[in-house]
Amino acid sequence: MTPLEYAQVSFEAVAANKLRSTLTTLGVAIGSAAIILLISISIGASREVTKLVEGLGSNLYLVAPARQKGAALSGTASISRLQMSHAERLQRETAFHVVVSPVLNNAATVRHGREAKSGVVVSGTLPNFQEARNWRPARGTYFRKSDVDSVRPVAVLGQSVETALFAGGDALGREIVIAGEKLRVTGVMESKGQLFDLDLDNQVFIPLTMAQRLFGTTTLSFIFVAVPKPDDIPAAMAEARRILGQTLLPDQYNVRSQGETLETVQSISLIFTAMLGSVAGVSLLVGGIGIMNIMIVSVIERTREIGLRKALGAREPDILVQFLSEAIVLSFLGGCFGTALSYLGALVASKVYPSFVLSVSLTAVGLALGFSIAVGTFFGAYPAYRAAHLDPIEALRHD
Amino acid sequence: MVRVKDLVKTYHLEGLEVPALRRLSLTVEAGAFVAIMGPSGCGKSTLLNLLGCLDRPDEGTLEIDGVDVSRMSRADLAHLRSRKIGFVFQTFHLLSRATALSNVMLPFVYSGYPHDKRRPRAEELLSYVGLQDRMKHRPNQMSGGQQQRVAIARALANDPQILLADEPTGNLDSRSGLEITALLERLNREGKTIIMVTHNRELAEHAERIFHLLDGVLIRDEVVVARRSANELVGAVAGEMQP
Ligand SMILES: Nc1ncnc2c1ncn2[C@@H]1O[C@H](COP(=O)(O)OP(=O)(O)OP(=O)(O)O)[C@@H](O)[C@H]1O
Ligand SMILES: [Mg+2]
Repeated sequence: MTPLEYAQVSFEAVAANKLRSTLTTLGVAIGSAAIILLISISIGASREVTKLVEGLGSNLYLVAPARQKGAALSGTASISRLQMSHAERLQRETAFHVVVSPVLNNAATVRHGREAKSGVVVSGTLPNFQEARNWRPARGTYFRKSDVDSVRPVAVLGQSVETALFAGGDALGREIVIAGEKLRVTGVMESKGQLFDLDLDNQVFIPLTMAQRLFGTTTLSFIFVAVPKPDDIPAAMAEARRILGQTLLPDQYNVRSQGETLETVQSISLIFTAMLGSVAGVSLLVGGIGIMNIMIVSVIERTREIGLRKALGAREPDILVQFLSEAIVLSFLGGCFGTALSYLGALVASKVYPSFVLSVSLTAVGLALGFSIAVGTFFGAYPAYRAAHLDPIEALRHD
Repeated sequence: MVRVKDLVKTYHLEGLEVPALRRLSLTVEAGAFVAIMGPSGCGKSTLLNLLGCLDRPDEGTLEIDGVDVSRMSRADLAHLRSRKIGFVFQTFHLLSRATALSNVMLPFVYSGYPHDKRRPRAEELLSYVGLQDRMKHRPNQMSGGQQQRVAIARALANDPQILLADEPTGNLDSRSGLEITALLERLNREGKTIIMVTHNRELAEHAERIFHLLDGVLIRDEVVVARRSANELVGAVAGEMQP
């Protein structure tokens, strides 16, 4: 028998029981769809994170308060010991040509007239923030050093804030209110887009001194340090640890590169993928058991046919491959349904969450189809073995 | 030629030994038409299954065309079945979801018959058995006699030398039974070796010899003196079957 003949015979057998075949493939279909979607989501997510972190700059490192043990889990913010003096010291004592950009940020409600937007990240910075982050106003201007020195009430808006408060109109020259302080809008930043639910354009930039006054603190949230060449980052970070170590205890600060942040995020998303993948795997398993069940039923139903085929000259491998390929056809059809289902799912998801671009990954489709074939082979093996080893005489007498 | 010597086959049923064949010997010359008769349970089907290489004997030898097949591997036996032997069953054993044509083409799959010749050959065979108008019919759209003729066409697919028929008329009315026997007779005239199990004495008399079995042994090898012939049949039947 040629592979084509096997495929043809299998398709005929599967088509002979349309409803039953369809129901049987459902399990594998759902499993495959789940695998495709989850992997696509997770690939998409890690791509976005990568894009985001790379957007921050590969020549950047960060000085932040050390994470308190369990802080990430309990959600309590760590207490910062970073002061302006640390930033100045870094700038003064470094051997590299670095841009040291201190930031103090806090969530606050921003108002304009009757409009209000809560949960806006208000970041106090120096003008060099633009160079450090390579992020500049799309319209208007950022504030200057003199604005910082004289604590001038000016602000640069992220795009989402402008849209929310000015209903699509131009915010330049207008006034916003943060914590009772009136600030004049001098610029609107370039859009940085969105990461999951985190809107990076939901920010307002104000002079660092103004932020210190509004939030009543002199500590810094973190310090960005941009190094001219990415290759210099490890050396620059070592230097920063040495400089800061003179005035801070090791558990009071943390120096890390964007690359490290990226790795952390990627390893988290890898775990995520693996977890969701195993959930999908379980549904494939269940689908496979369904196929095994229906194949056993099919072998019993067609016992006489098997006996006849043997009487007509079928060898054991012929029967084995016939039923195995039938199981694989069933399972592969399930994989194809699943692929269609996943495209449908992606379509629905993009309608429900327009901000999250979910594109079905071809790798995931290939993987799921491969899995569906493997599932058919694995779970079809036992029924096919049983069929192949039936005694022809008894099989012919079966009723 | 089929030669059987001291054939022993014993079934084991829940620890009980059931002897089906006990040192049975017989010879069927190539091109012969023989009938096998005997009471129920005497071992006729067991013998036919052994002759058809569907099973292997416990003891004794079975030669087909001078080759001892009694110790052959299952794969070799399968090969032999597809080339040398055609089966006709009491209950036809047609695939119910397939057309007459597809049923006749089924054996080609296992003999590696050339693809382009399969369909013409099957059509030729169906015409030969008088079913040129029923090629696209499914088994449940045909009478018992027609179904058995499809089965005979299927048995002829790979042009085997030997046709084994286990009560081929057992499920048919007497007229259809006669038609089928006449068909076998004609195949015999054209050179096939036919071995037919039957309970019907009159149909058995279409054969040249009758082997009488009892309790797994041959008790009588009868040469049919007044051999019946399909030529005596109703003209309509004979006419229907001449292409
Ligand atoms: N698979 C089996 N297991 C146990 N005993 C069996 C089996 N097949 C046949 N037998 C026994 O072997 C003996 C011969 O059976 P066989 O089928 O050859 O008889 P038969 O002559 O064809 O009978 P019938 O005319 O009723 O078809 C019987 O006693 C039967 O009960
Ligand atoms: Mg019998």
